[in-house]
This record gives sequence, C-alpha cells and structure tokens, in this order.
Amino acid sequence: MSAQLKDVIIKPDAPSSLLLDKHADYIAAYGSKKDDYVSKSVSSSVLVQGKMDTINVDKAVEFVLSCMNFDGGFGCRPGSESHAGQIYCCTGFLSLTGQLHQLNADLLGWWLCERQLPSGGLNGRPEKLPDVCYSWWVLASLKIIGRIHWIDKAKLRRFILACQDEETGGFADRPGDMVDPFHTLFGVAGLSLLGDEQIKAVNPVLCMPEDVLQRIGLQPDLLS
Amino acid sequence: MAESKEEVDVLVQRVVKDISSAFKRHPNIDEIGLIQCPEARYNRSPIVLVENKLGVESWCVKFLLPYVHNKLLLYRQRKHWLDREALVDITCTLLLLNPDFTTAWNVRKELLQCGALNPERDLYLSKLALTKFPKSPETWIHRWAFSGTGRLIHQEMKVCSDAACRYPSNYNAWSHRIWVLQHMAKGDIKVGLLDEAAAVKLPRSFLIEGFIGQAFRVILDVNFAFIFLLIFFLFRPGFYASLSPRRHVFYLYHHLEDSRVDRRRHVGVPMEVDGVSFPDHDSKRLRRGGLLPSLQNEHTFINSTLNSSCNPEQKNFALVYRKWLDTVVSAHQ
Repeated sequence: MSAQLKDVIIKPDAPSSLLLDKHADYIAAYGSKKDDYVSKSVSSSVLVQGKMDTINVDKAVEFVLSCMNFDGGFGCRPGSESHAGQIYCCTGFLSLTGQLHQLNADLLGWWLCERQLPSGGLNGRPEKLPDVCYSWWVLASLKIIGRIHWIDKAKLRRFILACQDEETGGFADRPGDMVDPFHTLFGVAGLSLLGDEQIKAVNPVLCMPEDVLQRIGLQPDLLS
Repeated sequence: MAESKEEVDVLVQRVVKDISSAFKRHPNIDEIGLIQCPEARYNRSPIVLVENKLGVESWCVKFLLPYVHNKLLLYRQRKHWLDREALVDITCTLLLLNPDFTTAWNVRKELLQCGALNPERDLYLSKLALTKFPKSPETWIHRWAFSGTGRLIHQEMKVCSDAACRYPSNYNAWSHRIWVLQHMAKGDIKVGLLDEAAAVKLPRSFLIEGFIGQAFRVILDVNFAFIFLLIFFLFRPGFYASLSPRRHVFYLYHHLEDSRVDRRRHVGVPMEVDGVSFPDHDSKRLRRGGLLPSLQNEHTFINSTLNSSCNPEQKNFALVYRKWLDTVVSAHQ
C-alpha cells in the first residue's frame, strides 16, 4: 500500500440524489443518434443463450479455470493479472455453465471488496483510480458469488450518485468527467444491485431486467 | 541514410549478424536496452556493447523490426525459406526488440523440439528480454515450456526477483514464482520456505501479500506438520514485520479441520530448517504462551500494533487484517 493512495475526492456540492428523469432524457436523446451498441450486446447475449450447444462447453470451462490466479481472480490468459472486467466475464460464464462451485468465493470476494476506496468508489485492480463502470463489474461479480454485503453499500451509492451530470443527465466514469451511455448503463445497474427502489431489479449475470428474464424463463445460478 | 529497399536489406542483415556475433564473442551479456539515438551518427553498427550490456541504437529499429517481423511471417506462411541458423538469429533479434511476439517464441519452441536449439540458450534469451521488458507475458509463458529440464530453482527465483524489482507490482513475475513453487519445487519445503522468507523482504504491496498466501498454500499442501514452524517464525514479535503472511497462516490453520489429530501427533516432532532444530519444548511453549492463532489473540495483536509506534504502512496493514477477520473469517463463525 503506497503512501499516496490513488483515489478521487467527492466535492460537497456533488449530486447526492438520483436524477432519473434527467437520465431518461439523456438516453432518449442519445438513441436518436442511431447508436445501437447497447441493443447489440443485449441481443448477442440472448443469441448465445440459444446456441450453447454449438460450443464445446467443457473445453471452454477448462480454459476459463486455467485463467484463475493465486488471488482468486481471473486474467485474460493464464498467468495474466486479475482484472475486475475479466472476473465479471468469467464468473458470469461459470454461472451460465453451472460451474460456480469451482470458484474460491472467499478468496475472490476478498479481492473484489478490496476494490473499494475511501471515496466509496470501486477500481478494477489494485493501485488504480475508481470508475463507475466497476460499480457494475465488481458489484455484479460479488452478487453472483453471494458476497455483495462485503462492500460498504452506502459509500458506493454516494460515489455513483456523485458521478451524475445535473445539467445533461447521464453518468461519467468519475465525478466531474464527461458523461456517456456506457457509464450511464453501469451506474444505473449498479444502483439497482444496491437496492434502489426507483430502478427495476437487474440480473447480475446478464445485466438485464429480472422481469424480462422471468418472462423467458431464464434464471442463471448464483452462490448464496 | 539508407532508404532504398536494397540498402535497407543490406543494413538489416548486417545488424542481425552483428547481434549474433556479439553473443558469440561475449557470452556474459546480462542486460539489453535501447540507446536513444534518432539518427545514425557515423557509418557504423547500431549495436553497441559496453561492459556486458548490449545496446541497440534507436534509429535502426524502424528499419530492423518490420524487416525481421515480415521475414518470419513469410517463413511461417511458407513463402520464404529460412535455414535453422537464420531462424535462430532472426527470432533472437525480434524477441530482443519485442518479446511479446508469440510467433517468434513458437518458432523457437519448434527449434527446441527438433534439437536445433539448446534450451539453455532460450532460457538465456528470455532472461535477457526480461531485463528490458520485465512484465512481458509471452516471455514468462515461454519459460513454462522448460519444466522438464534440470534448471535450478534458485536461478529461476532470481529471474523472478530481478524482474519484480525492475517494475513495481510486477504481477507476471510473482505469478511465475508460484508456477516455480508448484512445478519445480514440487513442495520441497526447505527450498520453498527459505526462498519465500527472502522474497518477503521486498517492498510491500497487496500483490505480494496475495502471492505469499498462495505460496504458503502450495507448501502446506504437502506437509501439514510445518504449520507450527511457520507460526513460530511469524508470531514471534519483531522477527517478521509483515502481517500478510500472518493472515494466511491464520486462514490455513483454521481450515485444516481434517488434520487436527495429525497436528497433535506432529507437535512433539523436532522441526529443522537450515540446520537449526526446534525442539519439542518450543512447541509446548507456543501452546502454553497462547501463541496459537485464535480470533481473540489476533484482535489483541492488531490492537497492540495500532497502538504501537510502528510505521503508518504497518498500521494500514493491521486495519486491513482486521477488516479481513471481520468480513471473511466472521462469515464462517
């Protein structure tokens, strides 16, 4: 742990309540710019669901597990550094393939909850700045492995809300930066996982509303 | 300055030969590097050798790298033939400039397989590459191909330590260390303990903490009896500054439920490390002095650390250790 810890400082006048209407306007305006990558990712995940039998699942599981590191996390290839984004992909994958029991939930849960910095925000790996998208990658991973209570929820919520832009709507990666749809999605999804009642419940594995998944009868495994 | 294709060809072939000759004439080269030199000053080789350090003047890289890169790919696509010696020289040049070029390492693996390349030479090349590129994932991975050879564990640990010192929080170097413990040391306790005791003198970071925990797991998987030895080393005040291994020993001790009976049986057996015996009375002293890990003991230890005059870093680690006890350990109470 270095003497100068990388973190942000949340100013006293940072947004502290959820500006849902502003975000709705922001996304609606963005949609008119014909940028459909959000819908692409949604449809592709549903497509994968329907076509699981075309993949050699055993080999895929074997490869994913070979990327597990000594700290319980996952890197992009065997021996690579653990990274929250990779961890989310791997835990989601292991959930979809019914292999969550292969994880060391205590070890991984500890690494994940150590992502939380004094500002309340989460980073993606040690010695990095917090970023609102990790409110999703880290938080969803913790939810999947049943250890979401290892995070200080109130502090994280404060950080996420501080990333809003009061004028334009939307969320930025950290307080004061420019907003974009990517961070808006993960800011909202993170708040949902934290239990915000103004937002629909979101599924941590597929990042989709739970009611949609219930309609199509899809309930990926979670550890308790 | 060389600009025409023919001139570039001639230049590059000369440079590749110069690098090859440098290694033949000076087998003790121990470091490589780039010399910032935007233009060729005189009509002389960009390969510079000073006191066992090999330098490449930067002006030639823009000609050299694309040329050798392209040549190797053409060979791979069977559009251009290269004999074994040329392959060795070209891959060597390539990897000293860009060791994350997987194809080049794979060509060398093939040369090793057919006996055209000495394993020692490859280990030497990757060690050199790590002096300039201490994180290079492909270089570390290439070293896994040599698990069957008789190389020394200490040498391998030195490569890891040197790379860890060259770059802060060098994950790949520490990851390779685990690989060595698992595949080369194969649980050789003495080697494992002594090497890792030396390793923890390096600067503190969470990365190293995680590594130490895993190292202990690897060692202890082989012989549960040594947990008392570790406890004796780590819990003695002043001997060991870091709280990280203490946390891991606590975790391991409380998860060895199955071996409770074995543990009691082994307590009376003298332990030995590097010629020093730990006779039976020391083990009994541990138990009498209440030094075996319990939650209460650990919280007392943490509080005394926080109230003491030790450095802020150590206090931070004490707070993290307390958070771990409250978060992870308490979940299983």
